[in-house]
Amino acid sequence: MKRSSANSSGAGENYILRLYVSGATALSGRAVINARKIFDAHLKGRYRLEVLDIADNVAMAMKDQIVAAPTLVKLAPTPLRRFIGDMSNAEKILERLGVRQRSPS
Amino acid sequence: MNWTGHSSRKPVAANAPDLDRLRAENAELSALLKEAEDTLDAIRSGDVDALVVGDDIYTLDSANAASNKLRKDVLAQMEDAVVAYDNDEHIIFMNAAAERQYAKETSEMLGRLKSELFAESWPNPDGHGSAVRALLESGFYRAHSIHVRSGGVSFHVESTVSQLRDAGGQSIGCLAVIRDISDRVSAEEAIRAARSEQEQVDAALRESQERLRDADRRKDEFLATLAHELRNPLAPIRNALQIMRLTHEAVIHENARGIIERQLQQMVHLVDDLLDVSRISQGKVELRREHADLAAVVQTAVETSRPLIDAGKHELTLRLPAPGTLIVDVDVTRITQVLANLLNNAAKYTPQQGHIEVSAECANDCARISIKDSGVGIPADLLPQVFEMFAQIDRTLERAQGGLGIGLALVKSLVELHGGSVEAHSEGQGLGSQFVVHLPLTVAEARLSPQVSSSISTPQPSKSMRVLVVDDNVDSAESLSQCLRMFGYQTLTAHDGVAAVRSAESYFPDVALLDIGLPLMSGYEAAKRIRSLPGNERLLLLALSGWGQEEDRRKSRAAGFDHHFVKPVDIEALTNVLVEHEHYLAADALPSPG
Repeated sequence: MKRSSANSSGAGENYILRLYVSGATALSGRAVINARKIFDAHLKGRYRLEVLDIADNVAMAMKDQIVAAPTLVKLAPTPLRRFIGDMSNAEKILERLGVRQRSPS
Repeated sequence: MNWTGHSSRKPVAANAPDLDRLRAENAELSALLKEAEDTLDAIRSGDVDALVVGDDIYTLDSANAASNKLRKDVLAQMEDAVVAYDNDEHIIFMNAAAERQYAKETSEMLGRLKSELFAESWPNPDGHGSAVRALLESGFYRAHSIHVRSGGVSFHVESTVSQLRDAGGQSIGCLAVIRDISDRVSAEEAIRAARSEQEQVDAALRESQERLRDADRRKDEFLATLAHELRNPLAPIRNALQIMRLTHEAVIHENARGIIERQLQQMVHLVDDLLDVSRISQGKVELRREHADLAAVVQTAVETSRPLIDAGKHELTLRLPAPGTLIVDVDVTRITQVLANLLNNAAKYTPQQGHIEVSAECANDCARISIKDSGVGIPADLLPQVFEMFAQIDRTLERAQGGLGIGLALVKSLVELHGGSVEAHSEGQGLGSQFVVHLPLTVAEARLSPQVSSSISTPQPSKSMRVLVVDDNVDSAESLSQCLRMFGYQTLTAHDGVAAVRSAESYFPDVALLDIGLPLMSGYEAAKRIRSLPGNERLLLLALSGWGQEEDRRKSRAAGFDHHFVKPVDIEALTNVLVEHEHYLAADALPSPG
């Protein structure tokens, strides 16, 4: 079972991520798959990813200050970070989310 | 959009030096700036497919927005599970029905492999292969398979899978509409099971019909044979009567009478056998077992069959144990009948001047009686059937010898009724036959009933006893009465219950012999009334009935009968009882000494 990452109350779960997508379009689909791939590879067992259709979750999207889909939001740990696009640039995402420690540019 | 405002709520460290705080704030601002740049870049380069403007979501594929929304609603409303996945089988869409069917949440499963949602197996070995081929060739397939979701729950599904293509016609994955058809499958299975059960019932019916037809055919053949066998003796009887009418010569009359007697005897045999078979098959035969010397029983059987053995000029060898050494608990009449039957067969199916060998011995706690002949034998394939009712070995031969093919069935039934067994052996056609009867030996010490060893005792004629014979069959009553008169008794006949009681009142019989099924008043009732007449306490009441079951005997006793005889009455046994009663009356009439 590869489900541990999805369990909401996992003890080692310290990354809480939310991915806003726009239905089952090719781009959004790709974004979900890529995001899942990245986190399974680098944060296995330490993350929870929630995939939300932006059309069904307008209020929450506004609260999260989303301007477009697909957008990934890192809710925890702080600081809150957003990443937009099809999630194909793994290195950039990892860096942005603070998974890979790099000196800030 | 006020991203900076948002970030300002996140102070870095409360007691950090100003420089550190400023540095952190700077980093945060840089990050936010980067995010904003990236967002703009993404929008410019078309890396987004929806925009949030105010309270509205703008789908960038606006041309298809309305139909997309409709499609989405339709998929959400569908009862069937809908799952879309890319070419690497990553799930990109699941509807509510799919969530229910696989007990997973969409948010949790998106981006994961389809195999994490369910495992698929194919009832048809080529199911998977042909599905893949159909998808490649026509972009579509519909197939029946079994899905197993997490927790091992499995169900039958019918999947309709079609290729998903992008605007350029490139395959981007598949859309599967998956219907749970477990109910339908189990219903179909139930129907199939019911149908196969029905087929079995049909087959059994056909088989039993076939058996019935076969039995019917055998019955027809049997009836034809029976008619033939019954008619056979009639011709010589008619001829003999004709001869007697034409001449008065004593010698010729004597010959003709001999013919009639012999032919009649054959008919009686035939009818007796038939009645026996019928009674045994209905369980109406009761054995009158007694301890008997087997050597004597065999001797009696040999005497019974002597005429046939002599007629065939056969040589008979007897190997018997010393008298009184081999004791069996049997119905002597029945076992004599069995052995005589086998001996008759041996005599009939052995060509003139053959050999017949009879032996009786003790073998393995059993009495073993063997009757072996040098006759026509039995073909090996027919050996297992020889004891079957109406199944003649060789119809033409059997006919030539005169018989119905029920003798051996009778033998088997009677032996088995005794708890014994009978086997047939033959080396083949023309090589003779051997029949072996096994009977259980008595455990008890040998105590012979006098009746067995001695031959038939002749009753002492009496001039004094008065016998009332009651039977509604006038011929029966008259012939029995005539017979008794020849033994020296005085007789009177009556033909119904009321007449019987009236006769008893005026005739004062010593013995009343009553049929049970009488007109006007039953034999039971007549017996009660006769018994209650003054002076009739010592009257001997004898029941004469077609039925010999224990229940019938009990009823007779209850009505006051002293004995119960089964028709046709054995004159021998009847006269024995009469003589006994006579002695009893005589002893009673004498003044007791002292």
